[in-house]
Amino acid sequence: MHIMEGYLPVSHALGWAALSIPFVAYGARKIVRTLEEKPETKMLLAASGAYVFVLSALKIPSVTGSCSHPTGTGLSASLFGPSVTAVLGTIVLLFQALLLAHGGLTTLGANVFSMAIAGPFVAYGLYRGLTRAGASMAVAVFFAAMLGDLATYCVTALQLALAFPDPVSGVAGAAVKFLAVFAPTQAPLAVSEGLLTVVVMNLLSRYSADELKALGPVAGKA
Amino acid sequence: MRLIDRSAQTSRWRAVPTAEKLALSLSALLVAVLSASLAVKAFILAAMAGLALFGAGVSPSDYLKAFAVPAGFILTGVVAQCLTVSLAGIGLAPPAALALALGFGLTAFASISALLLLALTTPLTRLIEWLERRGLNPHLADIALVMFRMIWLTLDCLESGERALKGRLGHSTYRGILTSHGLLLAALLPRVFSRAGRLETGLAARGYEGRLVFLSTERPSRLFRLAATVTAFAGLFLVGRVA
Repeated sequence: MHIMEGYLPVSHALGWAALSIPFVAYGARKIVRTLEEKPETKMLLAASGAYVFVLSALKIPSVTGSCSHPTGTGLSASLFGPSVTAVLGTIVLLFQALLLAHGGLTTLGANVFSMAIAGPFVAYGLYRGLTRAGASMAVAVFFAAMLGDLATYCVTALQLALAFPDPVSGVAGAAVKFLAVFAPTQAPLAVSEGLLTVVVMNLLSRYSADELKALGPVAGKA
Repeated sequence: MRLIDRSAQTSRWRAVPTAEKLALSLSALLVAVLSASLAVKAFILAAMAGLALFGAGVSPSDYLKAFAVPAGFILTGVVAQCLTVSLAGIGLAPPAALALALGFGLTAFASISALLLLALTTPLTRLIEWLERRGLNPHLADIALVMFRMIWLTLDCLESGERALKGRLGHSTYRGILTSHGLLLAALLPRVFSRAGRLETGLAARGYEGRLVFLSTERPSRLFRLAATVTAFAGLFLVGRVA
């Protein structure tokens, strides 16, 4: 769920960009260090980024009958780890702004925070937490992808609510309003994306063990 | 997804230096966001659309298609701002809030027109090269450039796989669509990695040492044009403040 170009007041756009920079800078440092040690992972990272971008070209059906694009946060965080996802997600969001006019340059910081940081970190945390608690991989992946997607959507609604508080009920009322406006598409989409991510991860772990192993040095710990 | 890239590659402004197009679009974007004057925002919306259509020769249908998706999102946001929520229920926001919502809507439309002028006239590779010349880490620039080139190949794989699955009735039920998409994405990852592996092997055979060098046909930007653009938009901003 992108915030469109020019939609946020300048102070908010700058504030969200300032919040996102440390996460992206940490991920970028980690990537640069990995590339200096293992230059051969550059192609793998570029391929991973292309894969994340192309994920958003796929239309998945929502359980209400409409169609929408997956965010890919759950899958990306499970495959590449959240800090690498923060960098790849930033490049993907820049590409989406300039190739699809989805999102924008002034709202890049806010979109990076919701889609490349909050969603992936929630998804990754849930995945690790649930697997450690003994949940099966399918259950962990489903909840990680679904709640990661919902976290992205809630953060975006909160960003809009902070920028445009309701004249009567303030930020809380505006948050309810924005959550309600986008809920009919986003909530069912999160369930669909959770199910889709389970199918993909099941197939990958069964048939693509080598590829998942190759991602080890790229994803690292977090 | 290919529409904006195709326009950028075939635009009459393709050869114009990236820095000049960036100065124009970013100045317009900044003034649209910073100016409080609705007239200035409306002027930027019209001027940027006019430059894209009549200056750069972008086809009107491509322009409208590119504008449609962000316009839909902006209108949904404006509708949400025009409503107010309280314990008494949902109602129309007070007139001052309505005016504010329409103002933000116009700002967003003007900003989108500035962004589209850049996107529809400048290939993304040129922007990445420009960023690298301005200090972006070369490794990250390489990743972005290779990623951009791989996107189209990956997209071809995705689209042909999707057509094949659809042809085999893989999209006939909700469950079928999810399974088909799952199969497709799971099949795509090894293919993308295998392509990356082949590229890596090919580069290694040509003496790859960790840096990719791309040829650039970029013309140097003209300082007076950059200065004139920035000055004109600064003037427009001041006019908006005075009026």
